[in-house]
Amino acid sequence: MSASVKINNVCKEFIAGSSRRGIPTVHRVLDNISLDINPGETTTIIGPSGSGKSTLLLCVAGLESYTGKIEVDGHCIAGPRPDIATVFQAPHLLPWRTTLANVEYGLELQRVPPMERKQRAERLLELVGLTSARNLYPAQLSGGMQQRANIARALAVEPHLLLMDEPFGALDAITKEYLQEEFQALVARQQVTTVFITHDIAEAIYLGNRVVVLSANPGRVLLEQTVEEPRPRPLEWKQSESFQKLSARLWQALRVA
Amino acid sequence: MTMMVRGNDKENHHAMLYGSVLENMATTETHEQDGFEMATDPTTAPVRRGRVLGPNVFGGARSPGTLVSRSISVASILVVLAAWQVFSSTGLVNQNLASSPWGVVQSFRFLIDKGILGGAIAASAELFGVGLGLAILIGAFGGVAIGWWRVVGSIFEPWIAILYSMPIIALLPLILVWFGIAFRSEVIMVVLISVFPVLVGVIAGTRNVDPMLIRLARSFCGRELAVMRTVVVPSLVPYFIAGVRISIGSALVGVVVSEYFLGNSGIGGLIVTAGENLQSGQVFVGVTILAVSAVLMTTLLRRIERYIGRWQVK
Ligand SMILES: Nc1ncnc2c1ncn2[C@@H]1O[C@H](COP(=O)(O)OP(=O)(O)OP(=O)(O)O)[C@@H](O)[C@H]1O
Ligand SMILES: [Mg+2]
Repeated sequence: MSASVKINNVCKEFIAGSSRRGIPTVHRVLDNISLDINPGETTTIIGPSGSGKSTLLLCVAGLESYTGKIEVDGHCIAGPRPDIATVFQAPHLLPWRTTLANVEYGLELQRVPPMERKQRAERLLELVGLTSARNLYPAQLSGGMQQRANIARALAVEPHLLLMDEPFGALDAITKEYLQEEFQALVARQQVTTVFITHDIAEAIYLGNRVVVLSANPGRVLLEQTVEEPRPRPLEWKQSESFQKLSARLWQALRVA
Repeated sequence: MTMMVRGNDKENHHAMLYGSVLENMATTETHEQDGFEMATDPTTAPVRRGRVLGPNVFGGARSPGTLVSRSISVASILVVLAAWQVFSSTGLVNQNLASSPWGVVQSFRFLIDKGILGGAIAASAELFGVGLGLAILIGAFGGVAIGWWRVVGSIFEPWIAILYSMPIIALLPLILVWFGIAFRSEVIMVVLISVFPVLVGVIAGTRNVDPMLIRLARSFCGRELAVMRTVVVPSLVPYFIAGVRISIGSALVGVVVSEYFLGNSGIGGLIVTAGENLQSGQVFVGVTILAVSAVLMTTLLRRIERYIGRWQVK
């Protein structure tokens, strides 16, 4: 149930509108990114805003072109794959579907039979605490509830590689900690390889087997920090000395990013 | 609404800005709907307790506060009818030319007794149904194809731009020459007149689909047809309905025009014949039937729209 990811010298440039003389200006967002992600591991990526974190994720998801090489389970990424699920930075729920139907959406596109679809979706709604909101439309959900539905939708397809773009960014501190713990336990239990983007250093350390720090303009790998603590990790671990030490080191790295 | 869009379109048809025109249409609908929905929202109810007779910002047709304005609307119609009756009874206006409400009722009875009205309504309804039905089918499927595949768009858009901005009625003599005085020419006329609002609406709707939702569907490996069914079609519904609303009016125009010129049948034929015979009461019977059916269909459409769009409820 887990995939390996090899990212090799990946570069990404955006053409930022042509100048007067007709020479388009090239904006390099990712510069020679190389990362090896072992099966079942969670890699968290932090970096300043605009450092290309979302762009890198889209490249791995097969939704954005790139130069270099990205391999998942030895297959080169040239488009979306059914065993990869993405949680986008914004919830992007289908506004005309209820919460339950939204969580079923990925399964529906992958032609899972309706009964099984519903069962899996119900289970995930329970996990993210949305069972009572199953028949509400997105317009009737709070921002955090929408984001939880977004996460449930991705988990429902039981991916081998899970790509998450600041999924807990919009949540209050308590819901966030609850979901961090649940999510971490789930991912560790099911051995889902995960790439997890966040702005939150504590979150990056708590969830990650490895924390990658990206620099801005262009995005480069500044630091790869392994987190040895075995999973599942209790929330109290955040108060420990080893955690604080890692946190200080990452702060230092981010300051020069 | 029909008038507004037409006027707007005439002004800038060179630019072919139908996207923005229809966007406006769609937002107008949504606002209208918000109004209705807010009226049922208990939290806004106290605001309406103050009986303000100005434009009712919060109210919709269902709120108790609009009972007053509704009564005023009914009274407005009754007053005009009464004045009409008084003027013609006292001989202030010529009864033969202007008829009177009572005269219209008598003409109505006369036409029913003679068995003319039923047949005329059936003939017009058939033409309307077939014509508008075809227009909606062509508009819906054609619109999605044109909006979704760029090549298809490039092929058909110049023709749509030309036809939508010209008065289609000008083509009537050609249709007469090519297809003769027959039901099919009438249908062609109705389709030509009423297809563009739906078509253009659906094109605009297809192009306004949230690209993020399409990306989402692609990330789950959704195939093109599945993406269309689950993302494109649901999100263009408001545009489609806004188009249909205008098309209903256009199709009625098409029905009357083709009955005037291509068949001399149905309600349109009845109106022409009555006019030629100076039977103004019968003319008003035909006109009233057209008006009432237009209002009924628009109301029905609003109901459908509110049902389909219930997810917009906050
Ligand atoms: N489609 C695009 N076209 C042009 N430029 C883009 C596009 N998408 C992203 N960029 C640029 O790439 C850079 C990185 O964007 P990206 O969204 O990957 O940043 P990020 O690290 O995810 O930032 P944040 O933490 O704020 O989400 C930005 O400078 C942005 O302007
Ligand atoms: Mg981002």
